[in-house]
Amino acid sequence: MKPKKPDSPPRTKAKAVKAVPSTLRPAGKSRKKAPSPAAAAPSRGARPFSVESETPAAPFELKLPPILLERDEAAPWPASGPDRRYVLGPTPPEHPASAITPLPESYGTQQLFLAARDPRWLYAHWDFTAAQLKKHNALSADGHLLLRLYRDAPAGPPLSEIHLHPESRHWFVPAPHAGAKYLATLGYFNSAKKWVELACSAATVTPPDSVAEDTAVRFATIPPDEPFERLLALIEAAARENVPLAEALSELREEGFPGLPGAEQIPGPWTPAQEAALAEVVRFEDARRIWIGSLEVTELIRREMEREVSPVNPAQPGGAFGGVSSPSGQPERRRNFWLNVNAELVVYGSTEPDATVTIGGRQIELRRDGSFSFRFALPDGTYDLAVAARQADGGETRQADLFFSRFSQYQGEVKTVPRDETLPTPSAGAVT
Amino acid sequence: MPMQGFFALMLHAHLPFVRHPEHEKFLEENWLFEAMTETYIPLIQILDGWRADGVAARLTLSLSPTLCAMLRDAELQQRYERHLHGLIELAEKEIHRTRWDPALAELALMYHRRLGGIRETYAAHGRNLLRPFRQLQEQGVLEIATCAATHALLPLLAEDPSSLRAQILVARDDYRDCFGRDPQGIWLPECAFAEGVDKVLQEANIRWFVTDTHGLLHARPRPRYGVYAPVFTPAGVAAFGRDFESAKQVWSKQEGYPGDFRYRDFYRDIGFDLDFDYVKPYLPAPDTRGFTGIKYHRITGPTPDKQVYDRAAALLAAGEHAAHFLHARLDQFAKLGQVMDRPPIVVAPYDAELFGHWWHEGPEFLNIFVRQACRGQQVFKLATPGEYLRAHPTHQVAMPAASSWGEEGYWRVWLDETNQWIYPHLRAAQARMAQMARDFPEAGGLMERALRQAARELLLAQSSDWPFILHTGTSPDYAAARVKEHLRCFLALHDQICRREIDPAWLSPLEWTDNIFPNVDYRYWNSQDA
Repeated sequence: MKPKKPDSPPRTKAKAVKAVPSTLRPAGKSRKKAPSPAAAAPSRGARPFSVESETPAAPFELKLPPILLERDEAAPWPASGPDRRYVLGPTPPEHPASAITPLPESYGTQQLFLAARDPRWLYAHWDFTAAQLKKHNALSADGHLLLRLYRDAPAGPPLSEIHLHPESRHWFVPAPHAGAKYLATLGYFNSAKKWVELACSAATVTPPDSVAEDTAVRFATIPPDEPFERLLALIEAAARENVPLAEALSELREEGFPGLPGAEQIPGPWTPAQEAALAEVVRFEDARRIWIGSLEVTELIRREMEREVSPVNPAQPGGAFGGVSSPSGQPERRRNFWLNVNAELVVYGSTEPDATVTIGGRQIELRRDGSFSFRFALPDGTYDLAVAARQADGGETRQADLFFSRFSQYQGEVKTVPRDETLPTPSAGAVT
Repeated sequence: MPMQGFFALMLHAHLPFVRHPEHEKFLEENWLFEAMTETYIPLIQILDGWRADGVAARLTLSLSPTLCAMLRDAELQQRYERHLHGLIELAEKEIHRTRWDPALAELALMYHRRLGGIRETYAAHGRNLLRPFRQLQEQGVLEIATCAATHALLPLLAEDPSSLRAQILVARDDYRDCFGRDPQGIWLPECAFAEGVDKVLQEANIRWFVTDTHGLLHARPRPRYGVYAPVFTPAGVAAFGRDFESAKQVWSKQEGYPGDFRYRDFYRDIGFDLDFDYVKPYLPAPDTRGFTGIKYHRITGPTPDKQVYDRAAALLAAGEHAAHFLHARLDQFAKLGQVMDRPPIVVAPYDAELFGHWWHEGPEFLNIFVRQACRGQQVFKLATPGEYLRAHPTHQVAMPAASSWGEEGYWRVWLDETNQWIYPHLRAAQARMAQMARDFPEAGGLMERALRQAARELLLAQSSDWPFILHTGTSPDYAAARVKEHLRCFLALHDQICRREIDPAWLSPLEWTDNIFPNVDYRYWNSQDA
């Protein structure tokens, strides 16, 4: 029976956000060119903080601020808590598909590579072109290749024999034992039911997942300021060059070899009572069961909060020959009716481009055409705001004193946080 | 009398090499700008404070070569200054905008002050943050460790010894350029160790590294002192093990500090909350919402309704947590001191970006903890691994187990269905680089330039950040594009080198954009030189 491919890990479905307009290496006129070797330094007089492009001043024309007429992009639903590495926002940004030439599908070396991924899983990949796979699949009585896993040496009956997808070039293979050496062979059974081997991997060793049985203790003294080069020369002189450095130094010290660096006292034997007392503090078994890493806990907090806020399960994409897809969850129907309302104030206007303008007594910067707009948060309360403009040569002034008040009464629970990203923002078209 | 212990607080600062001079602004460059504003510069301010106040603090800081390259890059320095200028301008507008909301207005003022202080510190150090870190090492406050050249996951290179060797030796050379001395210690990327890595560290004369807890506890033979003393690998390099207790108190969901409801929420940023046209000039990339770093809400709880951030309450929380952490260490050392027959060392490594960027109040927590720890208690003192080894050079010999501090403790994060596609290409490229290094042992002129650029492209493709990002899904399009672009450039260079027809017009722009490690020695891939 053909074993199922191992499950792929779940992948969070990225929500659509507005794409970054440029590829990693843009072509065309917008691309900044590499400086010539003679002009590597930036030119004097450059404005290092300018981001916007230079445009000539347009004739003055009163325009409504775009915010009142256009849809604003609602922020995606925020995650919470502390961050995790390389986050740029609540959802991943999208970059447009790059024009990069694709990488080769294979290099055609027909080699098999095996690597331990953890104590119980191995990763195998084989470098065969589509044509090579097709040729061997055609010769195989099963119509596809098989991977055989061996312990210690590729001899005798294999530990497992895995039927592979005809177009697959990799597999995650379960390893029965931690801390063990494995090899694999790739091949097929021909029409005469004879095994034909195509490739054999090098050996790999799975990491151990338990403490060592061997409790023998040997000490070495290696002062950090003594260069390894000198220590290696020393053990070579003592005819121990085939022994690892630390072991060689330990042996030489036991033999009373003269001229060894450092002179710290070697600790005495360790009693069972001491071992028991330390075991209370060290808790060897905890380290394996309760792993704590920098990704996990922030991820746990984030997932916990997402589960509590919105029980949507991410869809798991199936790759072309990827893992088994798991069913995607559907968002729960919200049980509680809700309303969110907020209000802000926009003060906007224009004057001569070289005038000095203050709002509430603080000077503001005008746009090139002399226009300005400012948004204010507007909680309940009464406000007055003076907008004043003074001519460039210190001549005439003009002032507008604006008075506002906001007073809110609610019926039922009304919040200010936008809950639904499809909710339209206020605009002429949205009001019925 | 219980033995006095040593507490080795370690921060690992790393970002992948992200530099896009061909764009005016690029979204992923914001990783660097955010970390500079919220972690690295505040950390320098805190360390300067310790030095000025005579606090007998010792801290180990690893700075990855890719981060060092970005910190001293003139283009990125200029962009960061522009970014900071924009943020200060935004903070000024926020002061206006929030004038009638006292709680928000107070925070807007706080951000304005804080950002002004950041700008002052940045200017005072000549826009090059490596300078103050180097000075602090020379003054004895810091021990700076290196990291693999482009943060490759070294156990996955164990089958390619020439590439494993190159990642370490290129890092060592870069460290010499940055800090004027050889590195004593290394932060293995993701704490990932496998047998064979220590031999390469020996060649580079690197004397210590750190493994995750189970990496040391599962060592063969069994380590007598658990993680409370290092072991020497057979190659003679010291391996320190991460302490589970101090890790858990900061990271654990149940007991950890950063999720406290009083702390600032990371995601409620005005870059997402406010009107698009208003924030647009200050966003990290054109027409795409992103973080500005100005955030007004606290975590509050497992609810979407976030309350306004109360800075005073958050600082109180940081103080409480620092005191809790200190008492936990005192208890821990009191127990260890009774049991051990040699001074115990507790190793507590964290990502540097936890303090300030992910956990906004983290620097305050660190500052309070260290100052309290250095005042009036004799149970433990702060130390670095190098100091500890100089004082205590005799240790058990054992081979640590293959391990990492990644999810589930091995390489699952970097080798799953989202990212396994990378490895066949890397293996092919690594084999080709080794062959080229053997075929051209004495290249000069244009050929040498091409070989160096091939080495750079391979190193950049080997970064473990790309498969990490593909696994976590934070910016997968970008990560995939980076791997493909570097591999494509490598393959093109390989083709030109083998045909002995280098196109200088094609090579020069590539040298300009992917300009890391200007003096990279491609000969490190010739394993016959080892």
